[in-house]
Amino acid sequence: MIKSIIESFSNLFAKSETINYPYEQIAKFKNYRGLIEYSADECIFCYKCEKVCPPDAIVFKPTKEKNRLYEYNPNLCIYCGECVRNCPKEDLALWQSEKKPKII
Amino acid sequence: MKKTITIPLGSQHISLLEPVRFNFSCENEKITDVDYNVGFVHRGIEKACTEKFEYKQVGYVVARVCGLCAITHTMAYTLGIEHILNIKTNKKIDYLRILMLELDRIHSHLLCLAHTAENSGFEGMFMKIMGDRELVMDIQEAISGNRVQFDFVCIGGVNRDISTECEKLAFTNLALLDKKVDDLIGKFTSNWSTALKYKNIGALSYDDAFNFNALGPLARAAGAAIDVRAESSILPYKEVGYKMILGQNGDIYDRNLVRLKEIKNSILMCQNILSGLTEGEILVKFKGKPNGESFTRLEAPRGEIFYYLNANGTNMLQRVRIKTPTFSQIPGMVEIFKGSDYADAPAILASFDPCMSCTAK
Amino acid sequence: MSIVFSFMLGFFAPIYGGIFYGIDRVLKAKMQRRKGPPVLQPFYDMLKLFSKTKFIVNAPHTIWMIFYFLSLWAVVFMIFFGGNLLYIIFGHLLATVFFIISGYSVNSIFSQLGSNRKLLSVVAYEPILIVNAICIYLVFGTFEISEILAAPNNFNSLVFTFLSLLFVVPTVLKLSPFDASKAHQEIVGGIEVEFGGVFYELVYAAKFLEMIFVYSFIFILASNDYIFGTFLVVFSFFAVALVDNSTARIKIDSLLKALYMYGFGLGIVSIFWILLCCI
Ligand code: SF4
Ligand code: SF4
Repeated sequence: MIKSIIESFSNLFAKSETINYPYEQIAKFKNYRGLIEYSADECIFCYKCEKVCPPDAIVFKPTKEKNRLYEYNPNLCIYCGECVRNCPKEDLALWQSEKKPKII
Repeated sequence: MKKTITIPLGSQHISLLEPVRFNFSCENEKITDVDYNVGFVHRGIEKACTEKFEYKQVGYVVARVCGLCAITHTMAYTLGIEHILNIKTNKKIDYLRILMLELDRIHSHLLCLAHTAENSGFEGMFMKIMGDRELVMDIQEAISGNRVQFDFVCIGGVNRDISTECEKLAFTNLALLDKKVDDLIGKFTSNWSTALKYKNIGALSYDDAFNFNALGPLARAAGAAIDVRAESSILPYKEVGYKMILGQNGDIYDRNLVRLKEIKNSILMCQNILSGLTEGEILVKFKGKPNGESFTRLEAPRGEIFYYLNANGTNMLQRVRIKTPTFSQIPGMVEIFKGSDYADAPAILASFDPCMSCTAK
Repeated sequence: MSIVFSFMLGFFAPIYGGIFYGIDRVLKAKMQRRKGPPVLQPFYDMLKLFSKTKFIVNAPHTIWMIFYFLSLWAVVFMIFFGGNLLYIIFGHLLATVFFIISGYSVNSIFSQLGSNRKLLSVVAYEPILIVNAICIYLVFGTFEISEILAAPNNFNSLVFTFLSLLFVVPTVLKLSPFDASKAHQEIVGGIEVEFGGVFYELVYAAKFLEMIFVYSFIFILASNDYIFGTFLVVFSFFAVALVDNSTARIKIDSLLKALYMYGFGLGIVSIFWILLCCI
């Protein structure tokens, strides 16, 4: 008990461990797993990413102009990186950024 | 007139992390009978693993069984499927896997200690331990890139190698944490109020530990040498400096100490692994579809988890059966509750470290 | 002290009490190395609670609680008007009893358990308050606060009274280790659990009044030396916060034992100390 009291007292003068979050940003680590980014120019439309994605965050949908349009749902994505690992043109067509999804 | 009062604990209660419902029949705060219900978070994961997801994806699905021992679940599944597919991993992969497992154990144990402190009304200690826990969470985040669901292990290896920067961070943080754990041991053993709250409270005897099939730290606190890490050789635990830690009385106090000492042991293991890590491939290529069945046992932070897999040569598995440690701890838990005070119930509950979403899946 | 000033002090007690409470929370956050809420957080809470639906479990429940709040406020007025110490203690007891009855009047098991425990803790701390009032009487020869505050400083003879009052403070304020009657994690706040909206705000404000009640006991120990009195209050404020931060909650029977053995024991020691050594 005495030890805890001493520590509590010395903590009064210590720096706080928490931060004032929305105003101060959290420090991110290098190679943080963020949003998946895609470039349509490089893609060869092999659909491997669509096939491996566990929560179906990546889907290719047919539209009027294009027969297959890449669609990515950041709210479903679990940031596992499996799509990137399976893409034949990794880093060119599909890569993992360090961005965070927008808070709506 | 009715002699007893019924106190509900759950399914929503401040002292609960997860939904579970206990109905205590009490005689003036002394618990005489317990009724429980654990199935509040059933998500049908076992079924989904066999119907919706292919075997390569199941690793990511079972990680969602539990937020705390995510790594352990994926690990157990992966070991099982690798057994079926006959994949031999190299030393480096094994070591990296143990590293993550032990880091996971450290942070899970710290959470449990914090939660036990909080449930016995010790907010200061709660905040302190949660603050210290950030150290190990940081290591995990730096290594795997994710903070909670690491998705680090995959079939045939691991997803990421460890960089020198991460290694440095890990060494400094672990050394810091080691000191803090020593300090915590001092604080847990020399406090008048925690002694009142923990000593001889919620004790599970050595015999009862066997009778009620106790697992993990719960059994080890009672003196029963039950630990998959010592029993199976699926991961090279002996090489990295594993040591069995046993308590005597099986009360909350002993459980806390066993956890703290296990954290120290885990820190030692992590340091050994990090200093002995060799260069090598982190992913073994494999071919073919699984055909056959496997049983896997692995020591999760809370005790033994068990996976049964059955595959029939297609992309879909036929059966995935998960048995989690909390499932086998519930009979012991109910037995301990009988005869103790309601005032101790939250602390006892937390000291069991129950994981309800694991149990209900 | 002029009557107007006393009246102001009493009337605005829930407001500056709120500031004390805010400071308390910031201090506690600092001790736990957190940023913590702003000092004015109790008032933000108040605004939010006012905007909630006024939900009443049953009429007696709320009415007893309002009685509790009003009588507690009356007690605070009595303190600032320099009233009689014994009246104040019993007034506070009456207020607490209202609160306990209010807890019993709902059909919620947590509220009733909270009432049980509160009753036991009242049984534990009330004798200590009375013994200490006797000590104060022995030293100053009066129960009137206005006369005590005018008497010369005689803290040497009241050292043990001060120590024994330090046991009462966390019990009345429901702070660790003597917070079994509130026991957030066991009985979800005890009596407080069934109030909502504006009515919870009254319970919340009552906490500030309780703070003023116990700390004024400590303040009068320094009699006419107001600076020393303030120092005592600040010291005990710190001591209580530190202990709150470094102990677990003990069970209600351990609480009774601890309070009778140390709190009441120190009170008795104090009587002997005054009788044998100081007079
Ligand atoms: S990171 Fe995982 S969840 Fe996200 S899109 Fe890629 S495969 Fe799907
Ligand atoms: S895996 Fe890569 S190349 Fe194939 S469809 Fe997806 S983004 Fe395009």
